[in-house]
Amino acid sequence: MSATDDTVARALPDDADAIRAQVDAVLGGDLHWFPVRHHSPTVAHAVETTLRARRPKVVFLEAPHEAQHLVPALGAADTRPPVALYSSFRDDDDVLGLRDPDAEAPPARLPSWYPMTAYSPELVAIRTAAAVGAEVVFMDLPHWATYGNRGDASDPPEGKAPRAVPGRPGLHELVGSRELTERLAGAAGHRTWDETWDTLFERHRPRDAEELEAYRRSLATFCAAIRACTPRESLERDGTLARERFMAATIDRTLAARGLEERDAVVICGGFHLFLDRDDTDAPPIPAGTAHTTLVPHSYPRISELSGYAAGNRAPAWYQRVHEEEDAEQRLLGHVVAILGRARRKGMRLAAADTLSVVHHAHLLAQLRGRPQPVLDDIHDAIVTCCCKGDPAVEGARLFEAMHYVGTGTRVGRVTAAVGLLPLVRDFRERLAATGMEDLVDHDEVLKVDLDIREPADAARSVLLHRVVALGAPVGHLRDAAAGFGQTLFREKWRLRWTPELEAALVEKSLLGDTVEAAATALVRERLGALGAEAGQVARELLGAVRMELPALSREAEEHLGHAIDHDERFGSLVQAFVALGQLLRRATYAGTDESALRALRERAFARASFAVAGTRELPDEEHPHVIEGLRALADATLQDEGLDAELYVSHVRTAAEETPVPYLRGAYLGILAEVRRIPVEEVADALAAHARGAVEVQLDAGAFLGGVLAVSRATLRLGARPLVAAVDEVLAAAATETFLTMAPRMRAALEELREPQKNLLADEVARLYGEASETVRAELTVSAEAAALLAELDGEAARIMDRWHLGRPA
Amino acid sequence: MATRKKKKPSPTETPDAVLRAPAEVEYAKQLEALFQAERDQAPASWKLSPRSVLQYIVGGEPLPLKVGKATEEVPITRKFFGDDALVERAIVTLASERALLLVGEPGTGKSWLSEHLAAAVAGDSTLVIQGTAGTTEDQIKYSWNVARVIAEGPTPDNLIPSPTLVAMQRGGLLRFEEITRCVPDVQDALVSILSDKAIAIPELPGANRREAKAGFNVIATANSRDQGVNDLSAALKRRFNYVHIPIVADKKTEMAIVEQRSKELLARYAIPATVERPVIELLTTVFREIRSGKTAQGVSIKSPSTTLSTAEAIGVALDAALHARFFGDGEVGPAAIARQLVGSVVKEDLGDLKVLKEYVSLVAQKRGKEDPEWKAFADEAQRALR
Repeated sequence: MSATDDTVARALPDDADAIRAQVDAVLGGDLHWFPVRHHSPTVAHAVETTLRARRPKVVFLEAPHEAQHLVPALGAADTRPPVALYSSFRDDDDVLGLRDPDAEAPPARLPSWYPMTAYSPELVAIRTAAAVGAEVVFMDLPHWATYGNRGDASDPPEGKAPRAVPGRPGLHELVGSRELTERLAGAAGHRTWDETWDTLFERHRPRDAEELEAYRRSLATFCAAIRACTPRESLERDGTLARERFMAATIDRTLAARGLEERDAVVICGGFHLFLDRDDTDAPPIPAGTAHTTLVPHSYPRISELSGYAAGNRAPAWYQRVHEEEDAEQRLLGHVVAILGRARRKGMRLAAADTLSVVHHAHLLAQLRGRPQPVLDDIHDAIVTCCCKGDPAVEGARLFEAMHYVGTGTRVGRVTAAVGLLPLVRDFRERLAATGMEDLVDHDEVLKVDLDIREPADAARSVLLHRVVALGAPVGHLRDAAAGFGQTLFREKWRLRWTPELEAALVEKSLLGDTVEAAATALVRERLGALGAEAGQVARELLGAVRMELPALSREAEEHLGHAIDHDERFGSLVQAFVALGQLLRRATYAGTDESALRALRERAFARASFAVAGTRELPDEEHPHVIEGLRALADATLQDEGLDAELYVSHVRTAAEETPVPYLRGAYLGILAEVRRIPVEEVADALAAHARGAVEVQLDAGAFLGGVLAVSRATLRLGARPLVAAVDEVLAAAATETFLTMAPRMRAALEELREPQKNLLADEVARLYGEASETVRAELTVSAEAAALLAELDGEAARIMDRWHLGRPA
Repeated sequence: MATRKKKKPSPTETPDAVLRAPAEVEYAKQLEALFQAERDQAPASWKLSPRSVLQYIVGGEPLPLKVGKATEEVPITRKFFGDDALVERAIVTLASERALLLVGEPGTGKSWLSEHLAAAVAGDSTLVIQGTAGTTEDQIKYSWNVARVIAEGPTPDNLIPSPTLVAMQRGGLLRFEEITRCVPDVQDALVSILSDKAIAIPELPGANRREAKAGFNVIATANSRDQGVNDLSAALKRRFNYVHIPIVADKKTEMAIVEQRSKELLARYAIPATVERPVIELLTTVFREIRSGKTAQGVSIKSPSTTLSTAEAIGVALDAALHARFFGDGEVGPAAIARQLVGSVVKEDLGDLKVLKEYVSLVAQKRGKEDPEWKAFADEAQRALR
């Protein structure tokens, strides 16, 4: 018994004999089954050896049936893995019942990915089959059909919005409780299941027919054990049985159609499916809808199980190395050199001697752990031991980053030209090349790009990126978008990253147009149509259209915006439109284009927003920040742009101040009037001080009123802090103890909103107010009467000394 | 002639009993059983193969031990609880060119592991240098019998070898405890020893170089709280592989450590008591919660400035048993644990007293309303804290 068999046997459930009998039955049949793990270099090599030895006439693969036409593309020499079969299904008639019946929701879309690396047994099988002249048949059920054939068909993965589902589950997923994998790892004395897999099944390539058969048997036994641990109900529930019925039916139908015997075929599938019920061929129906299947580039970071892809592996680039480099010593050395090189670039001081130590240490660890060659765990342990001088969680951070980076890799695949890119995808790629950003699709890693859109080349890049973002394709985002409009007028900082979803999104948007420009135009036009009289949103769309250089759309949006401004009555929306138009105007000024229409729109937006101030008088608390923001934006504009009707704005603010029942807003309105110098600060201070003379309820409103004043005040604070402080003092002094205790936190909350320099300004005023009459300061002492007397005496003495030194009073 | 009745000696008074025997003596049977069962090749000068060393440290199946014609079965107990991969990395380092530095918080078992590694690898864990601020280069390399040197001049016979030199000559392991307590100049005496695997003795004429036999290596320990005080030089760091020993991460393991070690220590002191599992669970729960600053229910509490290591918990269990044996009713209950806890938590910083008080009133008392063990603990802790 091999070490692998021994370990598997020790972890088998109690009915091990039954499992062995099951394995014998399947492996002893005429149809040759080869169990695989989806991204395993050693299994891939074994599959290749098997196909070359058996030279079957047909090879059945666990791959989506709807992608059958892509077999030649997968086998093409100019297709460079990693690539993925991407399949998208739109449930036009809600056959699957996923659409929310209470909403006008669009049809459910179910995307699915079947990634393949160079060392995926399925891809190796396709290429080897071509070499030996065998036909390849994809035998798996289309992914969307599993929804209709599950035990829980009414329960899509993510409520009513299904997310992308992986094409196949990982081994972990197949064993719900992970009981067997944990037992297996425990029996072998390993820390993780990955370590166990590598030790058992990636140790070395089978060298002859006997080893190959033993390897196949070990894999099959292991998979049979997993299946024995999985309840049938769960197989029914997750659609596995439906898939297997389809697989069995496809095998039978194909063999019959070709007039072939079972011995003419090889079946390559996840080991779990080796034990499907061959007599149950009642294949489920495939729901009708719009399906689109293509081959798209994929990437190593997405193959990594750390990305959330359940059937992925832990280090795609490492296993690529295992696949490519048969010499174990060379691949170990290459991997260690790459990791230490990366760590050096990140600032670690590591010498060549460290590389040698790591390699030596990895070998010794492997030997101690009973492995002929180091696996990834040995390599990582050796690196930490030899290179990390302290706590790995602290001093090892750069090493772990390097191990992850090098182990995962950044490789992005390429698809043969024969597949024929959809026009939109092709245009995107051509635009990338034309703007010098083709690097983006070479590596799956973050690319930071700073653009100065006054430069023509950068402007072209900016336009493309904005268009792609508008299409909802995940190309990246503006790094400082949160900083607001003004921050990104001429400079844009982008954080870009290629992902497989980028091209998938473009595929989805192909219906909108054949070029990025056309699709973006159609999409924004669609959105504009849905907006109606929402001036702020329409202005944002217009700004987007200008950034995307969509002139025809810009004209439409301008017209739409004029209508929206005239019919929108919401203050916040109108202010948004006003601000966006300011941005557009500055762009037009820079570009030297006709700005008269924009200027007229902006003036209309200002006037309409001024009228809308009245509508803010009774808004609830949660709306107040938007009101403050809008009031300030309009006030700033009146101070800077003489073309605006400032008097109109002021009169509406004044009216609102008189009529509002909300103390906070009244403070804000009066504060704004002081800011635009239509009333003196003293008037605001008097209004605040008036609270002191009111009933208790009125006194309690003083904090909110002050909050409103301070929220809008800039110049007022610089020029008029003194009367405001005096007013606050008056209010506090007039309050009875109970009122004071309630009022004080509100006052403090108002002051807490200020920035540090403003607080200092007020603090100076308080000091000035009390510094002139220090003898009137009353403080509650928490010391004994004797101690207080002593302190008073010391204080008096200090005051006398300071007076002598002319330090007691301000000059 | 009247004979005086001989007083029965206590276990620690028997002529051949020592208070604490080195690991190779204490666990001699296990080491011998492993030696007899050895199938792998041991590196030069090693008593056992790396795999057997690993088995000795992390425990394994019982092994037969032949003594004369008799055979007995010897359990191979676990000496180090925690991640076995750490032990593997440590063992492999000792078989490599580099020396081993075990680094971690106080009480995480660095010295314990170092001793057992030396016992299993070299059969001798007693070649030890205890690093202090006063450690000199002589103590690391060699010194002289001054009287004889005055009389005879420097000769090999007059040289007093250090534990390092002895280990080198035997192909054994040197244990260097608390290396970062030594001043950098003294630490650097190790650089040439670890590079050249030899010590030059210029005072001796002729063959004045002592070369290490194959198998020689160094296991050093360093307290991570001392880092930055006398940090190793870059040159010395390069010659060490660091293995960081973390504080025990999970409750189950910590309970197993406290249970096994307190049982062993009680046997050594001949205390006829056992600390029952519920009490150990309470003790480790208290330690873990105060250490992490969070209770099992997710309530945040303050943490003390002291490292509440597992070794400290073992100390509390032992002290509680001793106290119960000599001053109490012999039963080691939650109250006995509570009495000993104050000294463990409050060491240097009196502020830690507050931490313990907070824990007792916020956590222990609350649990005591439903659990009599916790009530006994909380009541006694409050008495002790008054």
